[in-house]
Amino acid sequence: MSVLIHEPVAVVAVFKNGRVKPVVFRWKDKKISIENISFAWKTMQGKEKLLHFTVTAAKTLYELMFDISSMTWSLERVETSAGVFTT
Amino acid sequence: MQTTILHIDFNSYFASVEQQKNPFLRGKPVGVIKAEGRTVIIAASYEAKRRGVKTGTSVSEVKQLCPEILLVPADFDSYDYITHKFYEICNRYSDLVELFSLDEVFLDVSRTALLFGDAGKIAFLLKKDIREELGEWLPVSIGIAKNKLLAKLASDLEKPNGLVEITGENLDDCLGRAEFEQICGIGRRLEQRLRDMGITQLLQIRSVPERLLAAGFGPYWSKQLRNMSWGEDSSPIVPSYELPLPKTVSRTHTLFKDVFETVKILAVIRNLVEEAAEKLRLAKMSGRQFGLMVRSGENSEVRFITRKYFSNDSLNIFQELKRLFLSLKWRGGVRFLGVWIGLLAEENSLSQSLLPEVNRRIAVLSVQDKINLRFGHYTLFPASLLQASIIHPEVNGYLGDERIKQRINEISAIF
Ligand SMILES: [Mg+2]
Repeated sequence: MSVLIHEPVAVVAVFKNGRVKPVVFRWKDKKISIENISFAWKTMQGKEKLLHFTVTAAKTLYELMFDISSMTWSLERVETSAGVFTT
Repeated sequence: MQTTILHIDFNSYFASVEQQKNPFLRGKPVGVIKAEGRTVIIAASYEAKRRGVKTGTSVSEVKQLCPEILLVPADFDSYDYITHKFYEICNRYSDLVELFSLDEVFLDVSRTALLFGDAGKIAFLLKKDIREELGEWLPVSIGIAKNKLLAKLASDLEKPNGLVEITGENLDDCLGRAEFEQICGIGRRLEQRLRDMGITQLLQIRSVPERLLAAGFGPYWSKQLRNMSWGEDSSPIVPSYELPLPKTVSRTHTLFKDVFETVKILAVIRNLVEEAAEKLRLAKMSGRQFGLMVRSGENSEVRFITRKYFSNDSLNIFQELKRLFLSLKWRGGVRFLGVWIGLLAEENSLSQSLLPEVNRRIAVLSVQDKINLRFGHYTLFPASLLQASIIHPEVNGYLGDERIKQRINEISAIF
């Protein structure tokens, strides 16, 4: 099941060589350590750049988003099983 | 100089991207659908293809073929992102790059191959760049040959993750193995006509007497088919900056269920016009033919009107289409709507209006466009869409659109 969250979250990230990599984030009072970044992509909302990351931690997939202009992170989606959504 | 063309094709594009994004989907049958509740598979992963699932298979049929399939909604933003990155990567290896669809390009490396070693080395580097910069789960098949026809066939011969070169030595072998549907240019109708003549294989065409071929297919296609059977093709690479501007812009939408209320149908039409007309304004173009397509399960209508004046004002075009729709006296539900604006011209070739009310609209629309460019699509939208759930722009494989986008980028880079 894929669940839409769209909530601001606190993120520890590494900025290096013009790139940003989320490492740890806090959600529902839990510290979640990112094991792997599966994919990162960029979208535009008007002139604002949004960076998206799908990351895995403890067999769960999370989608994080970083809004560059407002310097805010949000948790967009959580996927608890590979089912995404079923027929 | 010997020409060398590469054709690079992502395998199971949308489904692979979803597997790249979500590692829990890897190795499993995945079907991409347009949105939750949609009934047709628009892309299937290799694991699903092996079970007989194809693009166009309905969800109900899929449940029979492959009950454990995982269905995911399409995320066109991420596909579009990869297409652009992919195009960028290809441009490192040649200045002659043709984006042929969202997931395939032709690359003419005749002049640049030596800089990197040879064409095979470029293929290797492309695969490496894609793996390192885009992801490890995005297989591409690459074909190398002396022309586009053969390069595209070559990339199709080995999937996923193939690399095939067609040379003088294996040419007849490759052509002999090719199905008609693997030959770019042979569509289903042409294939059927070939079969009707008893031709089931490309190489057979070589021995069909000229008169017979011409009698069956006319002077143009008989020559084309003859060339194809020898693996000859002289079509050039068309870099996107040389693509002609499209002659129409259109936007279509399939509704989740039949819609009966005229108000709601008109709101969708308005919504679609809004997007098409904005695209024209940003590209500094204008049209004078306004068309509407309406479909339900049983009925289908196409209407258009051609005017003397040019317009890219969404309100004005909507009023034309509203009249067309009302004149249909449509009864029953509507499932599909499409709008188009045709007979396009570039604005700077048209004379400006002297009417103050027209100029006021131009000023208003230019402010609306600026706001939406700055803050995102539909930040400002017509009040008639207040009650509607707005249909947002989406990526499609139509390259006329790609050319318009490019023109918009060129124009907005200047201003
Ligand atoms: Mg493909």
